[in-house]
Amino acid sequence: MHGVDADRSAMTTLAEDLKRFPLLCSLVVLLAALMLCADLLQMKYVFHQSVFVPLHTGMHVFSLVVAWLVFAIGWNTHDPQRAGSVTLLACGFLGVALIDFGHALSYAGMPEFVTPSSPEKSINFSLVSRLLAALALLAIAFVPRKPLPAPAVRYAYLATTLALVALAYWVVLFHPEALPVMYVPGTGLTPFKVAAEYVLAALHVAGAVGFYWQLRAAHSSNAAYLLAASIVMAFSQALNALYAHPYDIHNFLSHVYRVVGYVLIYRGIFISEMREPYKVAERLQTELRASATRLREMSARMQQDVEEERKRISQSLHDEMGQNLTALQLDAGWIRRHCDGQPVILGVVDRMQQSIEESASSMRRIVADMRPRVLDDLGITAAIKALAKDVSARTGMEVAFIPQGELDGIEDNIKTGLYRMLQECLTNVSRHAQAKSVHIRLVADDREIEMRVVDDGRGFAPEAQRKHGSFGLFGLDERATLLGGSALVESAPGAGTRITVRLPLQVSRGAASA
Amino acid sequence: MLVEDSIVVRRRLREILDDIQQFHIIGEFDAAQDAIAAIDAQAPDILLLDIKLRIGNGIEVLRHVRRQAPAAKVIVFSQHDDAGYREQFEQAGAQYFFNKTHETGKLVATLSQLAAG
Repeated sequence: MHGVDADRSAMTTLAEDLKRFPLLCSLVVLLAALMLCADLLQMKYVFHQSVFVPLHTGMHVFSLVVAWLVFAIGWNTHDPQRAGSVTLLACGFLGVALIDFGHALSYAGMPEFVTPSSPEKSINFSLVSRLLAALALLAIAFVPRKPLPAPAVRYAYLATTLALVALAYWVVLFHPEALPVMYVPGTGLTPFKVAAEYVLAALHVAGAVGFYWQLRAAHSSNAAYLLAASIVMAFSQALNALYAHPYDIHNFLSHVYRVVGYVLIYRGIFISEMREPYKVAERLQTELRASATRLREMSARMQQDVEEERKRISQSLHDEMGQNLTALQLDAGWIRRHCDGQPVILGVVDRMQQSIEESASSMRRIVADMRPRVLDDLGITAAIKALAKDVSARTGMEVAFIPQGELDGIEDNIKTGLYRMLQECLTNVSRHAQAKSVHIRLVADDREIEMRVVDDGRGFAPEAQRKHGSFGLFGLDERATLLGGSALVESAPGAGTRITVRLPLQVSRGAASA
Repeated sequence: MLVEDSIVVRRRLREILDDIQQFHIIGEFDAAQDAIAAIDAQAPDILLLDIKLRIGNGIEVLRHVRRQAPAAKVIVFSQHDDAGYREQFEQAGAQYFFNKTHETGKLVATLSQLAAG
């Protein structure tokens, strides 16, 4: 099965992959075509400074904002379980933003920025910032997606980035002579600068390969965005290698492409770090809800099965064992009548009859606990009367029962549920409440039945119920919910407890059972 | 008339009644409908009745006999002795109600009394 899947995924062609992201593909193709046109037509258009400088500044402000966003999202959505390479990319883009700022302010035609502005100075800033961007993308393309070894490591990344930025500013502003010459006015770019641009383009192509692998492996749209970004950034570098004048069309396009590249990176990071976690959370929530529903249904079915099983066991116990005990008892009576005047035999018969009675009593108790026959034979009112009498006899509490309305003939599951809930309530009262009396009220109309159990015991604070989930009252709520109703527990220390159970009556009710 | 679903118990009851000698058993039934049909044919003087039957319920037989043979003495002999049952059968007109395990002595004593009376 796994092998077949692997074969199939290996068979998906490049074309199929491209089809999955039509917008991204069209964008990349369009930009490639535009670049080729500019090159083939040997466009030599040079913008006027008054047009180019504001355009350039505007594009850089936009790039700066996007770079900051990449940093802000990558840094602030940090979570110890997530891939460390995202933090690396975030820090890289912080460096990009800070150095790009220097580049924009040093461009030819801009006022003095610490030292006089010049093409050379702005090219130096620009190269450093683009190198950082390329390295950051490479990192996220190839560094395995593993969590950081320790949370503090991200601060080390941040410190390193800031140190690199400071170093770049210091060298470019105060020691430009230490750097190779990039631009000769009148002649254009030096071979070093052109070579540097191609190296950057190559780094982006390498990054693109990494993202393509990621796309094939994980089919993630985030990798698709980063792949497109890498290609567009590679175009941007190539255009940067081609320009002859700081204000010409090639340099202009190079900046446009860079803006597009940054936006794509931002989209990629936004998808993986902001949107995906929400999608995962949403999916988990749906799954959780579904499983809670399944659990509830299962629980209801189990309760029904248990009730059926109890009914069956208690019936056969009562009928088969009971009849045999009766036969034994009648036989013992026969012996007694026929052995008059034989004290030894009569003594044994006494013992026999006592044992039979004890067996019968314990059997009856077991049967009544399991499934009170009276509930099936005589209905809920008689069953509750019997239960009240039994509890009162066992615990010494006064147990009063007031039935109101037509109570017999209610559905079997409701009847059983109510009886079991009442058993639970009375058990709780006798165990915990130290009550003198309990009042049970059962009222029904056409649509619902309400049972209220009020005791005059010591009560409890609501927190105690939540804390222990105890007093068996959680089960009460669960049972009521399963039957489509509700259970309300009201209590306060010293003020007794009032439990109200409401259950809907669905089926129209027939005549009272026999 | 004996209306009781358990064969073992029925046999014991028959032996007790034979012992007392004053009784003639006009029929033994384990289902309510059969007993009701027999009551229509021949009203019993004494009805010894169980609550749970193979088919149907002792209360149906009791209600029928009260209509058809108001003079008949009805003795309910059952394992069910919850307050609810006792009350219901006494209200429906049963003269005696004995538990099958605790009150067998009382049952025999009552039968003897009825025989003597």
